[in-house]
Amino acid sequence: MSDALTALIDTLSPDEWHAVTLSLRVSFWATVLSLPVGVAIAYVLARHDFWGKSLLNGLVHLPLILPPVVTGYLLLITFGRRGPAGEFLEQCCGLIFAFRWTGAALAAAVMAFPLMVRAIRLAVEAVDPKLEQAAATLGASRPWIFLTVTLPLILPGIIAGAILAFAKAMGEFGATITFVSNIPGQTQTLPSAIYGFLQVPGGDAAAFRLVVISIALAMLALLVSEWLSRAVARRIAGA
Amino acid sequence: MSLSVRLHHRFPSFTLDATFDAPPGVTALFGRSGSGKTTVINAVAGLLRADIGHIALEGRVLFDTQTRRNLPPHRRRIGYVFQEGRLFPHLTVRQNLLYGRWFSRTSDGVPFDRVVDLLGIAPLLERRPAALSGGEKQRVAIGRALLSNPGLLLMDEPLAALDDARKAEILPYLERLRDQTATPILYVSHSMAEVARLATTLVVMDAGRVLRTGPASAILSDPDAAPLFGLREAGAYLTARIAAHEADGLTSLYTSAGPMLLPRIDAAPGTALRVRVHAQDVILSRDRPVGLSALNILPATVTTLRLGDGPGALVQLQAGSDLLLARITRRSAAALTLAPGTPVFAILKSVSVARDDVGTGQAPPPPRRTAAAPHLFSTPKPEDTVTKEDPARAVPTGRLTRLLHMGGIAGGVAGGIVAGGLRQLAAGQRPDLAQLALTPANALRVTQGLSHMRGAALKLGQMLSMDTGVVLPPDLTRILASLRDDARHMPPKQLQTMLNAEWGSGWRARFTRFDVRPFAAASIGQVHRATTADGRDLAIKVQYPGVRASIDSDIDNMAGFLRLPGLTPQGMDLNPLLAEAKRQLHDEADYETEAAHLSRFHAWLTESDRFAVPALHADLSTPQVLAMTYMPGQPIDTLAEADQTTRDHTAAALIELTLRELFEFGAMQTDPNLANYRHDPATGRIVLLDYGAVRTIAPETAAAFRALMTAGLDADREATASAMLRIGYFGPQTAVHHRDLILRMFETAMVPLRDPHPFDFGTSNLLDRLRHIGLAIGTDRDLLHVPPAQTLFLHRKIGGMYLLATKLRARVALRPLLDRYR
Repeated sequence: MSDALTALIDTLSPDEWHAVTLSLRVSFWATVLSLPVGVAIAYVLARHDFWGKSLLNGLVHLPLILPPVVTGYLLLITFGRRGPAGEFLEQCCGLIFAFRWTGAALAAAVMAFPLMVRAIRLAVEAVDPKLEQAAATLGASRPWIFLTVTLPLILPGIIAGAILAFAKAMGEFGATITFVSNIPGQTQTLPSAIYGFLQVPGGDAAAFRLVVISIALAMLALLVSEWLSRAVARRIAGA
Repeated sequence: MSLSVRLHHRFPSFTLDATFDAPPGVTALFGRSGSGKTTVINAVAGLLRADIGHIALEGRVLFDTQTRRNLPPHRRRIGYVFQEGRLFPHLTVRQNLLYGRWFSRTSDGVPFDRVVDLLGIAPLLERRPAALSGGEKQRVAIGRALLSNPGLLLMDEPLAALDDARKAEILPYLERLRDQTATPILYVSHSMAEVARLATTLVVMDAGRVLRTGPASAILSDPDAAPLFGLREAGAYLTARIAAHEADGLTSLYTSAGPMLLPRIDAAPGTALRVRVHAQDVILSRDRPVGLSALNILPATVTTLRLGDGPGALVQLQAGSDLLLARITRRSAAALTLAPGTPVFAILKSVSVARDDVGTGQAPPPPRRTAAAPHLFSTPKPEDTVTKEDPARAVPTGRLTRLLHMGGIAGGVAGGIVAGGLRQLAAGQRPDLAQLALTPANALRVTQGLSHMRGAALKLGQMLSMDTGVVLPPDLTRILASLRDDARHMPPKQLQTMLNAEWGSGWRARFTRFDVRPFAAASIGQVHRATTADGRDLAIKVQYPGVRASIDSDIDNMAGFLRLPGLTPQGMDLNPLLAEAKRQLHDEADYETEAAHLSRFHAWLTESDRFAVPALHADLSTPQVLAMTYMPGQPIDTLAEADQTTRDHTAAALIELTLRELFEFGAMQTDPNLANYRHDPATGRIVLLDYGAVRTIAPETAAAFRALMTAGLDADREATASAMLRIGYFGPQTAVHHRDLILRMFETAMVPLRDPHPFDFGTSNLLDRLRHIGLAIGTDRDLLHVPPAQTLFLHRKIGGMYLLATKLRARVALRPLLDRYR
């Protein structure tokens, strides 16, 4: 299989190859940067009752329900160069989202966020609060309890959430194309490249190559996730 | 005192009111499921925040609602062993054990190896919790809590989730923990077996309230507490030491009561044991039986006898330095003529003691007979039947308990007499509230939270000081006083509801004036001034709604406060007092009876120029509302500043009234509380208030006292003795020297009564002299005869009058007063 894959990769054009690496980069950063926020929000949603909890919950889940084009459009008017957030970020940190790969990463992160939070939240809810109480009676303050008890116990959930978010980011299309368009070599991710090839006559072969790569990456992610969760579960169960 | 807990917390379904102290050792919180035990320890651990309360450990305040102090759990230094272990699944046993140590940041805790060794968990260290059995998990959980360096260990039914074999596996470790570490343990359990094995102090809870608290040996052997444990489970324990293992499979033991034989116990000779003895396994015999299969025959003395409503009876026995409980039938108790003081033999089959009933424990005091004769069937010599108590344990506790047990009266003639002895003893160990971490304001807060506990608080405070003479610490006195003067009262709306219910909703029309603010507070109600449409000026006593139903629980609640060490002398048995307080409050809550007594006294004293009794207004009186004529007046204490003649006359009048009550009226106001006597400067008369505590006196009782008084006045020792026998100050079997002591006390009390010259209450040291005799009686261990209950009220009344006369510094010639009634 790896020989076949190498052969396949050799036949890729620079633009096609760029689409693959861009997708990986976008998904990686989308996942890594949203993970701490995802854990924090999942923990808060699972463990605390506060005013506006339903609102936060709804906000987190909104991208799951809204048409991706709508999400992309909302991102565009907020984080575009004329958008309030976009203008601010450009002035303060020189960070530009519109029509850059960073924008693709932002769109992917937003779209994948609900899936990540759901997975982690389930894991937090599965942790017996009594264990955290026990840690408190043993002298651990709340931050320490989180680091030494809660976090290790929700690690499988975090991994599952991260992989899920990564896979979702790899496949994100609607919001990305709306927000950052489909500029080859700049913002053309795997799905938008496949879409692009399908729009031109004779692009079938190139599209097919990318489809195979997509499938391979998805399988790989799934396998890694399975392996990781099993390893962690074994560690926790102490078998 | 190491842990003190006072909590009030309201749940939707029940209310928790718990007050207790946990000294070093194992304090067991015992009660049915749902009685609030776990809530209590969660509050101690900081996992639950109580509505009102105060928790202090070794003087360190962990929680106090008044100062808004609430240490988070991780700063309380409390180790918690949960029912289900709660080990961290992602850590190894070693990491679990060291988890708390990592945060305790001190290196001076119990050494790791010692804990591992104590709990026998060395082979488990590298495993993960998932690979442990239930018993192993629990041992690791105990070790983990212990290694976090706690000032207190909490254990919430740590054995409940385990099967019997696992329980038996862990119990010895808990015993070692108790006996080999200094960490106090608060142990929640609903299992008598565990409590009997482990507890050194017991707190019995039910429905959110603390029913009993005290040393485990005393409560487990207390017949009154036995129903709380279930009669089949009830039983006390013996402390013992293994003497030798016999060839026939038995193990012989020393106990302070004598030698014992039990089935083989797997421990080395010399091991100290704690042997649980079920009450129903104990057989009693007046004579030492012969030809009996049971191997254990221990000489003992009956200390308390409680006859049940059914066929059963419970007997508390003093066997050596231990207390035992025996459950027999009433018929047997009667057949053996058991009474406190009766010497008996407690018989116990060896095989009735199960393996689980034997644990390790503290050693008994050294046996008096030499170790050469652990063999068992020799009849002990008579002087051996009463084993000397361990002196450290026996002195103040036993003496005080004893004094109180006898009703604070022994052979006493005046109410405050024996009490005076208590006062002296109590003064030696002056209670210190600060030490209790009980700030008065705090206690007050809790008391106020329970709105109608006033009655209970007042009644108990009054009884404590009047009937027992216990000197209450000034802070507590202040709390009680502020309760009495408390401006809080029924809100007008509630008053309206109450009166609507009693008088019908149109009652307002019948009055031209009705003060919504009460002008006086009765213990269980409040008094309003009112003028009726037809011009009568009235004092209207309205009972607090719901008081009647809550009397018992209120008293128990108050008792919780009083049981704080230092507030009342250590070891003092409050229970007889509590029962009496309940009875009195129930009586006082019945306003119809009070109305009847009021009318009778009014009729008797209507001609008197010395006394004024308010008239009853029956048209406005109901079972919960009492309407009387309003009587103007000042507190009787104000007369202390009056001239000598007025003071003398007042005291003489009151003493004469007491005599008339006893010999003429056949009814006595038995609550000689100063507030019930007022002085009307306009007429010079003494206003007598409050007829809630009036008791009728049977003619034969009056006659018996008359005979006693006459004999006393004539200094006829013979006649005095027979009159005292008739009343029941002593029984026919009472030993001669006790009888002499009681007679001497009476003689001493009679001296001023015989004297035709005025007796100066202000300067007399009579009380002191009587107290010394009272002490002698109280300390005499063999004197167990308690005078009949119906004489106690008279002692109280005489004591009250004596105090009043002392307060007035009156000089009264008593003989002429008494001579009239002989």
